[in-house]
Amino acid sequence: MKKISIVMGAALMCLLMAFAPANGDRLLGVWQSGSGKAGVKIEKIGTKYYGKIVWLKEPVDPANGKPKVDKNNPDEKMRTVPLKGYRILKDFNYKDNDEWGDGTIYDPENGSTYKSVIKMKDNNTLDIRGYIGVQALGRTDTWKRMKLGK
Amino acid sequence: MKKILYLFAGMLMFSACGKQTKDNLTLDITFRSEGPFFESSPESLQHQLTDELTVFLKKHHATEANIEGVKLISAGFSTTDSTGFADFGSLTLNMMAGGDSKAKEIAVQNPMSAQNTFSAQSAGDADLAEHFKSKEKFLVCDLTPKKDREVPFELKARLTFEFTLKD
Repeated sequence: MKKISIVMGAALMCLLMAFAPANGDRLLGVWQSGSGKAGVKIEKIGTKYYGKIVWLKEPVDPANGKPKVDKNNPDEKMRTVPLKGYRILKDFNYKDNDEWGDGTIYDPENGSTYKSVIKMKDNNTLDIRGYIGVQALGRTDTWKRMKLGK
Repeated sequence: MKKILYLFAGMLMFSACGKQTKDNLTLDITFRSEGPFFESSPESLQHQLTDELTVFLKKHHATEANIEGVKLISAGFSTTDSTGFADFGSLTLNMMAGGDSKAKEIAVQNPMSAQNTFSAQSAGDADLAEHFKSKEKFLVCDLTPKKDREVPFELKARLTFEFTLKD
């Protein structure tokens, strides 16, 4: 009887492990930036993680009454692209210990791209650090997992 | 004597440069998405490139190591959907790869034509050599719906890349 229980337990563990997301995939989902201005959906393409804007607190540009576009992009051809849908997080690899690195973050407010690392503090909180050169020279923003209806 | 030296130096430089070949690779890709689509919530349609490059390189007796430069020179899109592209507001085509290659926007169309075909503007002069050398290569088409839509959507892309191959 004991043997059967052990086998059943092991089988249950295997089943749970098979359906549990890989650690890196905990990053997937929709996250709200610290300012509360944007919601970013993080998705996986191949083995890397990318994040695009899917929600804006103020989706319309008050200057012209039209949906906001990426008007500060250094590439002139990209300045008509809507901000909603724009991929601002790129090329993140899962490292270890709830950390993703090697990526970049784009700030649409100034059109600059920074190197970036992401640290998951808990299942609903991310620390996203954007920096130039070394990590010490940068800024950290705390993002919260977005709930439906926000 | 000086002339001979110049001539000799010129010949040496010419032979050191190696031979380059330029050729175009045209890819016909079908992107599909099941939906539902939500207004203004962008959809990412993905396609992983697998055998297309192998066949092209074989024709030139080359390998990935021979790729010196790649540029997107034209991007045409079409759909057989009865509504054309009327349900979508903008399109951005991205190239993504494994390894060290960084994601690149390679074509953009905003606003989109409501017709069934259009040519998109290439975004910048991105060199995609590192992407095509990568083991995993993805084309990702970001479509932004103008309104909610229940039914699936299929999009065909004809992309022409100019390859520079070195011997």
